Amino acid sequence: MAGKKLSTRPKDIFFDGKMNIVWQDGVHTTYDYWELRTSCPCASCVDEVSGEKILDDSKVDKDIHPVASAYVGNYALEIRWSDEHDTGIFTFDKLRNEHKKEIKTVS
Amino acid sequence: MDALEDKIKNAFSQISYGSNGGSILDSDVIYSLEIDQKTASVVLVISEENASIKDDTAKKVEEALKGFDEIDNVKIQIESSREDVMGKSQQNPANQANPGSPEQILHLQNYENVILVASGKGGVGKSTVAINLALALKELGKTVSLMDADVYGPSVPIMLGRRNETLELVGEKIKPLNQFGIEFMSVGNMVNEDQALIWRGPMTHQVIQQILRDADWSGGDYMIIDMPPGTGDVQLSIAQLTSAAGAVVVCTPQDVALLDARKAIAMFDKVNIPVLGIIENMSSFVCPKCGEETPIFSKGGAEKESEAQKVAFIGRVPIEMDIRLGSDNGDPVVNAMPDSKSAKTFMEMAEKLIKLVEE
Repeated sequence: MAGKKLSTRPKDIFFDGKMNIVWQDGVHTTYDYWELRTSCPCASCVDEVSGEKILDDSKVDKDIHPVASAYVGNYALEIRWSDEHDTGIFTFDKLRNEHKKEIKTVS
Repeated sequence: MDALEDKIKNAFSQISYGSNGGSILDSDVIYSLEIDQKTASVVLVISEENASIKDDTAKKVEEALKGFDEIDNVKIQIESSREDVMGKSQQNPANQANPGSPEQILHLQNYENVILVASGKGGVGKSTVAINLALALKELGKTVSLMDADVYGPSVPIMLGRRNETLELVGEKIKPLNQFGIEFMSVGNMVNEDQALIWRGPMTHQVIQQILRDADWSGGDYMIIDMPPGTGDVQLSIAQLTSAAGAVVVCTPQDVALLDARKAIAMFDKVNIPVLGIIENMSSFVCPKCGEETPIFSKGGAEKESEAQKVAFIGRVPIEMDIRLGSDNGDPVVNAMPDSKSAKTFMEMAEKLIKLVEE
């Protein structure tokens, strides 16, 4: 059924120095905080029209980390970072398919 | 959770502390208490002068907490002053770097299923379908609420016969109206009928948020949301602020309507809301005098489309006078003429919808 893809529905999300998502199809992916913060898709980090990146990666602290997060409907995650940036909406589709990540095998 | 909090407070008030005869609550011994999945983490502040009863107090707290069914494990941390606790949590980078799991700040969580009734284009009979489906679900014994999210052209108040009525504020909550056994709320009951709402995106987002958050929805089995047409701001707001179980796409059998229905399906796919199925409305006209069937807007197009899109086909609503009259008179056909063919069609569709949701 359209939209009921298990691969873009998270079962569990937790933070332990990296962001971890365990998906409903059993795959477990992890994301480096700095990599994730510098790939923020929001309009103040990426130009909405041209798609050009506005954010200067070198200005992002190497110790950047999330301080809070919340689900956005069924489809995305909102993250508030230690630099107080909180406008990025990370869609599960992109987190699963596009963002740089490590894939762990599930035992 | 609040009940548990009270029970814990009560138990703690039985634990005495210090020489003045008060309890650990009176002496501010409990710095913090968090319960996460049956594990309670407690931070106690016990000053140097009371060091002798430190272990005894910790033991009593642990025993008190373990007495609750909601708690299996107890972790106790003891500090000698409040400053020490604060100092430690600031120094501990691991604590800072690891926030808890994402918050669930979504609305309408007191409903078992939130169903969006949508269409790619206007005028296909979305509100008529939404209202009659809501009433049919109620007839099937479900508790149902209906939210009219069409901020620009709210038609639910007219169709339910409650126009020109304004909503009541109870405390800080807006009280939804009740009609024919369902609870409903519409922007039509919030602003004057003749007033046009000329709102930009951020404003509509706020209004939707207000209806979702500040209304005193009583919860239940189904919340049916009558969406505005198209794929715009309101759709996105609702997709972000709720966790919908699924969407029903209404369309007429014409090709142009089907093209827009396809867009609506694509939108729901992007925001991870399952499309439960398609309903074909205005599907051919049967002459009440001679019985001849005339496919005014053609017929069967939606069923073909649902096959192409691999979504279920929920049903076909014919063009009938009863349905139109019901909507205009403020007494929808399912309620006004439950034995009519149209009402039975809606009942069948509601049954099918329940099956699709439960799948």
